Amino acid sequence: MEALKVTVNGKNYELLIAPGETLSQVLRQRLKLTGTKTGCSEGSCGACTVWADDRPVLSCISPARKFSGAHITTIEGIARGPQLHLLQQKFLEKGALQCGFCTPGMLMTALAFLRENPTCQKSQIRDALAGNLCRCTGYKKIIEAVAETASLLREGAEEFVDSPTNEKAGVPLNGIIGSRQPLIDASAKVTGKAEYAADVHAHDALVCKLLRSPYPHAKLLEIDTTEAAKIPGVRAIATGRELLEKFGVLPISRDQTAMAVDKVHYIGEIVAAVAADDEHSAGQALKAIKVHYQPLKPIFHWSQALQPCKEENLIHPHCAKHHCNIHKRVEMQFGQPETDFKAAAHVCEMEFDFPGLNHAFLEPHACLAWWDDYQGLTMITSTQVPHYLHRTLSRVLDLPLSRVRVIKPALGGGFGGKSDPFSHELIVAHLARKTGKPVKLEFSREEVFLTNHGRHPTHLKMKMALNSEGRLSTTDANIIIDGGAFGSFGVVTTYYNGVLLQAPYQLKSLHFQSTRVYTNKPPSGAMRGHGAVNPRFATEVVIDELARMADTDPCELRLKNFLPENTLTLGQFRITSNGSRQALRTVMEQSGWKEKFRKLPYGQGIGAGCGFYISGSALPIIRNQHPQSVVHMKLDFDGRVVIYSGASDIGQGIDTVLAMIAAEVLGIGIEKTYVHAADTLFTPVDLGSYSSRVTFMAGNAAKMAAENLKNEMAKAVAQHLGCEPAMLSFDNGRIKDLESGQSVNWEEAAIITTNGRGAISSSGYYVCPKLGGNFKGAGAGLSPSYSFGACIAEVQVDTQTGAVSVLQIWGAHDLGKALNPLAAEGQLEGSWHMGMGQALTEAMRYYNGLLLNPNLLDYKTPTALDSPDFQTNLIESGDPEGPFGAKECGEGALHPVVPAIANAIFDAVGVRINSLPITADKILEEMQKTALHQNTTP
Amino acid sequence: MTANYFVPQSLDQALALMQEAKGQARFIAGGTDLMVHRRQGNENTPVLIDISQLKGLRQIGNENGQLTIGAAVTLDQLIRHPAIETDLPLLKTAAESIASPVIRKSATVAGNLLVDNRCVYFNQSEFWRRAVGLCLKCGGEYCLATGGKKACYSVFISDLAPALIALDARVSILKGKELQHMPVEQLYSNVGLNPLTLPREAMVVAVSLPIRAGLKTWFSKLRPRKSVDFTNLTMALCFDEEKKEVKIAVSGADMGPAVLRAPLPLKFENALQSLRKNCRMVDNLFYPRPYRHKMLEHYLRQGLESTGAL
Repeated sequence: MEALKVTVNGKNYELLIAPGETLSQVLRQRLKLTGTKTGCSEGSCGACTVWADDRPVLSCISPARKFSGAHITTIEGIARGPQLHLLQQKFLEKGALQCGFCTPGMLMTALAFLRENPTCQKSQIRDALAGNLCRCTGYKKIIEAVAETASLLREGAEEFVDSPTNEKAGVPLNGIIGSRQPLIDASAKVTGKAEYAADVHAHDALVCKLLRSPYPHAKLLEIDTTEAAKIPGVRAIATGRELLEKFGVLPISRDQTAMAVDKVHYIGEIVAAVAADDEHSAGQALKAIKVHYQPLKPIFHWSQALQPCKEENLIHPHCAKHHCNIHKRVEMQFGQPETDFKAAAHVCEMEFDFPGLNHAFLEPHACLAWWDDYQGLTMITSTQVPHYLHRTLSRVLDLPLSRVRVIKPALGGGFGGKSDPFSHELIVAHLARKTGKPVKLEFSREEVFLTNHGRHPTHLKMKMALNSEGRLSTTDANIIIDGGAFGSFGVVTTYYNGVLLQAPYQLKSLHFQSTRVYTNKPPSGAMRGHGAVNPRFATEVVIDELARMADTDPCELRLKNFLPENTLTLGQFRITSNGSRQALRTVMEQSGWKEKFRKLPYGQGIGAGCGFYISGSALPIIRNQHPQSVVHMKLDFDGRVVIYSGASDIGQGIDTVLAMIAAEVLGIGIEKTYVHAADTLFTPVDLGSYSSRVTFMAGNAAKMAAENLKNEMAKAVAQHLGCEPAMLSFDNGRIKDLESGQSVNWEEAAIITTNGRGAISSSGYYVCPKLGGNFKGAGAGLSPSYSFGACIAEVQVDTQTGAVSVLQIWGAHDLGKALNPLAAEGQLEGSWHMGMGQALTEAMRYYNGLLLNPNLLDYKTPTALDSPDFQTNLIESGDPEGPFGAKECGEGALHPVVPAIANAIFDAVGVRINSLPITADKILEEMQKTALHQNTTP
Repeated sequence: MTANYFVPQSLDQALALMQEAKGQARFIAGGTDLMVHRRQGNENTPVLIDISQLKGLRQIGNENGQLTIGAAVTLDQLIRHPAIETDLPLLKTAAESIASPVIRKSATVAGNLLVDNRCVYFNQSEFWRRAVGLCLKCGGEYCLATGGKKACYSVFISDLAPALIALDARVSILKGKELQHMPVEQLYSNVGLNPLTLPREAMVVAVSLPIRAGLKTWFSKLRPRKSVDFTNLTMALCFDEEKKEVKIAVSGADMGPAVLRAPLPLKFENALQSLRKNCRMVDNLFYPRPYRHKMLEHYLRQGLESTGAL
């Protein structure tokens, strides 16, 4: 051990640290200053930024001993008592944070920058923040917050401010729906107080580490843990045979065990787990475990997976009926595509390739579990779906559901990557039961990538027809998706790739075949825009090409073909509200489409894309008679409305929206509410944050619960005032008899309501109406509502190098009603940012089944410098069934942006790159081929 | 990852510590490269000697038209120095292209010059490297990037080195008590396994270069994102009108810098050919090899044309 004297946030410490400890380890583990986050531990993401003697440093790659005698400032040292720094306040006010995981580092970098550059321009801010990755916001609101702070400070504003409550800020108490509300946990996130799974400290917890397979496909002959078990500090070692029950998020594909049992299916699959007193002994134990593998022939590419295969070489035995490694094949037809293709004026067919993508959220998975003889199992974990994990833990660990509790703490981004129950969660729970001690696991960034469950690598052929009246008549698609080693959400993905082709355009017919194969790679799963992003790209590119063939404007073509409101699609999706037209018209006008399309100078281009998405799946994953979401509310004498909801806030801000809904219905400020969420012991079931269902379903449940609470209060107050409950209004914190004018204030109403009986509770729920047809597969893609949207992108392509700069993205999304426009805009901007990454830089690249870029340096999410200043438009079509008219805005916005960028590149330089990402080398090569072709063609 | 970490307060102390360690020590300054290698298990030296606090190494001197940059001067410090801003735009642009602004506040001039070569098969965790079957650079028998050659093709990726080489900078090196000076390009062996010509005990203490008017310079760096990324090809070019010659230095293309000094008039094809000979690119970075070759040609033409050398 070495001595370290250091001052942190003004407090002196004398510590003994291990040689090689980094500053972030000292801060987080020894001083419990967990506001400093570690997203990569390799200096690639910036989340760990702190100041050493006022200079920003990356604490995850800084040896702690370097700072002997230094003054360290962390995010916890920024606010002055109850006063926030103006920049923290602006982050909160401007919606510059969502999940909040990058926020402490971002603030530390930005504050240091502002101090040195008080007169900064926006472009300098982008540059300064380029080393701090954010995956939620698209950076726009962060840049705005920094720029506004700079300008206010220049004008002499106070550096530290009181955070205004809603009352002080003058936000009306009723009419809160539709107002720009900072997230209710924003203050905790800008000060470093918000606790994420890795931040939760448990006394005497063991450290869990996982042994992973170095083979992509191999028989597991023997695991010898004898030597490992002898290592001092090792408390337990677990292997696959201890947890034989198979699991998977979908009941129809339970094809995975917590650890490999007889064979391994991909490089990185968990083979054994160790719980030890500290990280070092756990690491030593991993090295001492001896595993004998017998390699099997691996399958890496979808085309290999489709080859006939001997039964013993199949990745999973249940593929035997296909005689190859097909997991699921779906074929559906509506109408008569053949006839429509024959009758077409123009037919366009193209082939596309999409790599796998990773969600690249900033918070690596972490979990903590403990066992108690009375309480059973408790697990705190970074999950989007506490409910499915609850069920899975019960199944795999053979525990009654009543003995399992899952808590989701603050969550650092998910995008679908935390929406499966995971092996590591089952293992940690098992080890906690086995050792009787709390067990904690934190993933490295590499483990996040190996766990994956991201977007499926996809190969697809898309053929569409345009008839002589300019109507899109039919679509035929053949889609192959690479599922990696396990099922995950894959069956749903297989369906979505096809069925989500039946909107937003009105077609006469549709045929598709969609096939999911297994390969020996990390599993694919659900990622933002699940199942529809790649076929949407293909559709919108083919439409762009059809417009060119027909010599018409592709936007006009789209406008002519949109489905109307209140209609049924070919496969009987019930379309209610539909803002397609308004969305596209808005961005056409804003971007100057008519003046620019096909008119910009060579190298510059503009392109469009549209999209639609489900607003929650109408059917639950596990068929049952329960509502999809239930919300409880409690009112006691103190006047606080406690909202109990199982919904998972993963940064999108559902907790805030639930509070706003209660406040709106009851006519109170949100400071009189309290959201207790995502704790399966206390909160009623919500199925989780996936398929863009939460605002719609949990929102409706919350609205019903608040209305029921209101009715109950109205009865009591009416009796007190001697009036009819129906004559009472709940406005601005008062309950008033509209006839007599008598009123009581909220606090009095709470006392009146609870007199003689104490606290009251109410309940609300959401059950989806029965929808859809009666054919096989009719349930796939059904949703109580659909979102619609459009994007136009303008790009500059360097004609000498092929390098693309996205100059601007104009986006519009029909979300029914923006309950909280601040958060809704953030969802859209984040989606566009993520789509831009997919279009231009992101890909999971493999070498013999081994991911070549399992880190945030080589997996290239766009930085602040790569992102444009998105123009954001919220289209409010007013959904008839959504809460206050709202529908989804978390995923659908991603679909149009990817093809918009590709189409803009075509407009700029006349080449179509149908293999993503569209990198400079591909563009240049295609440009040179085209030039060669033109030169040699007479 | 564990190491004994020393923070000497004087140069003598630092050198004494190095001598005591008998080859088991390394100097560390910003640590932004070294610490990542250590985390990945590619670097395990048991003793680290932190020279970032040594005042003598943290200064930039400007005397008699000669700029002397201390080894532990941070890239950020370099960018902000008035002499760099006004007289050495090439150096400023090069430094600004490195990593991110926050990293540049720790990363040093010597650190960038001595940065280890990179390869997608090498800059990985220990688990990864074992799973793939160790490559030559981490103890294996073959180069994986080339599918089995017996030489390491890890890429030299310093962005500062090409600029300094083009500007005829020299490094000052302490070997024990002996101070040596040599051109920057002589730091490099152009061998992937061991890219530096220096023994570990040696310490780069400064870089010096003449400040001369009338130089026309050009710099470009190829990378997929506009910040953070390591280079896929960097070219620095300096056209000296007085001497009628150009000096070109390239990184991201070979195991060491590719350097070309050529008198005018210049034949483009010849210049390209001689550079290409020293750019043994393979597919081990983000952009594929053929594209990087095309960019080499493009950069050369652009650099020569925009400085008026062609």
